[in-house]
Amino acid sequence: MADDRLLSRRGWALVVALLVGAYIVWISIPATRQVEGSWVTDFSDRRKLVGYADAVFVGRVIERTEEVADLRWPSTRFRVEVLEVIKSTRRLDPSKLDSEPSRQISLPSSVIVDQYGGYTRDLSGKLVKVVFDGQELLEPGRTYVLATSYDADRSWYHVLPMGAVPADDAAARDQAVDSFRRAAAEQIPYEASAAN
Amino acid sequence: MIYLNYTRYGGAVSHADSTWSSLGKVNIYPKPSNSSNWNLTINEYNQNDGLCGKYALGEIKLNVYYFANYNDWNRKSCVSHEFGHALGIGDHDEEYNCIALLYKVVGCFISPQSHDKKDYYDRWQ
Repeated sequence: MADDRLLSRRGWALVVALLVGAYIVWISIPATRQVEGSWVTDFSDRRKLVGYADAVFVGRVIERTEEVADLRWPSTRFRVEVLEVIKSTRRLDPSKLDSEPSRQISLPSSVIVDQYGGYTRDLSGKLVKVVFDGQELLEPGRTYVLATSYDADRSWYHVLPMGAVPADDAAARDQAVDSFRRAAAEQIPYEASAAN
Repeated sequence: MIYLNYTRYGGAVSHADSTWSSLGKVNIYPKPSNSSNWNLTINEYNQNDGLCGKYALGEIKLNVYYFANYNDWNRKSCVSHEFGHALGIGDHDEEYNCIALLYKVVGCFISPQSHDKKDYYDRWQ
């Protein structure tokens, strides 16, 4: 008697295995989602970026130390070796918004850097890469000029908008450092009372 | 768009509601107490990150770090900006000029400008 089943048991097992495999591949290939924040000052003006920042330095990313896989706002932390300091101050009263008054401090040889963005999973389980304000995630092994705010409660340096500039080779590093040093010389301190 | 405000900045939220509602295409109102449906949640956070607010996937977060010292104008500007995102309008960050409410930097305006209105009507015809 002819077997009128559409597929044999083995055939169905193969179909299920293929579907599961396809699903695993699909959820593992990250989709990219852009998230934007509203800036309190014009960070595209490097004088204002440096004026706002507590620390600006050349850093080589050693390793990724922590990932917070929040559905909406994942964040990622890195250990960064400090190679060259362009600016390093500490606000006398961290609760005050304005950049001044502050005092000069020295940076340790390595710091924890926090960056918005990272990897999370959506409700279907699919891997999602969240890019915050168009700023790609820092990559271990690469060198950047980093403009950061200091978080006294968490003892880390947070990457500000427009505050991560790749500086891998000597030419790129010289150019970026020169630009940030000129901005530091003409920096515009942040004033909370100003509209922007 | 039905919103649920958990923040202490109800005045700025009401302003954002009314300034976008005046454009007429989207019905915006706070969640009635007898309803369990809403699609925008407004919360607070506190971090020295250079952002007065942010929006993603149906949630606005307002940054107390700045709002605590902001004047009324800047609060309204920030919340109205975020409402624009919640309505599906992106930042005008290709032009770093103070020309629109959805300009990347908050503080220029507290209501939609011509560029914002065009984006709004393109989105909600």
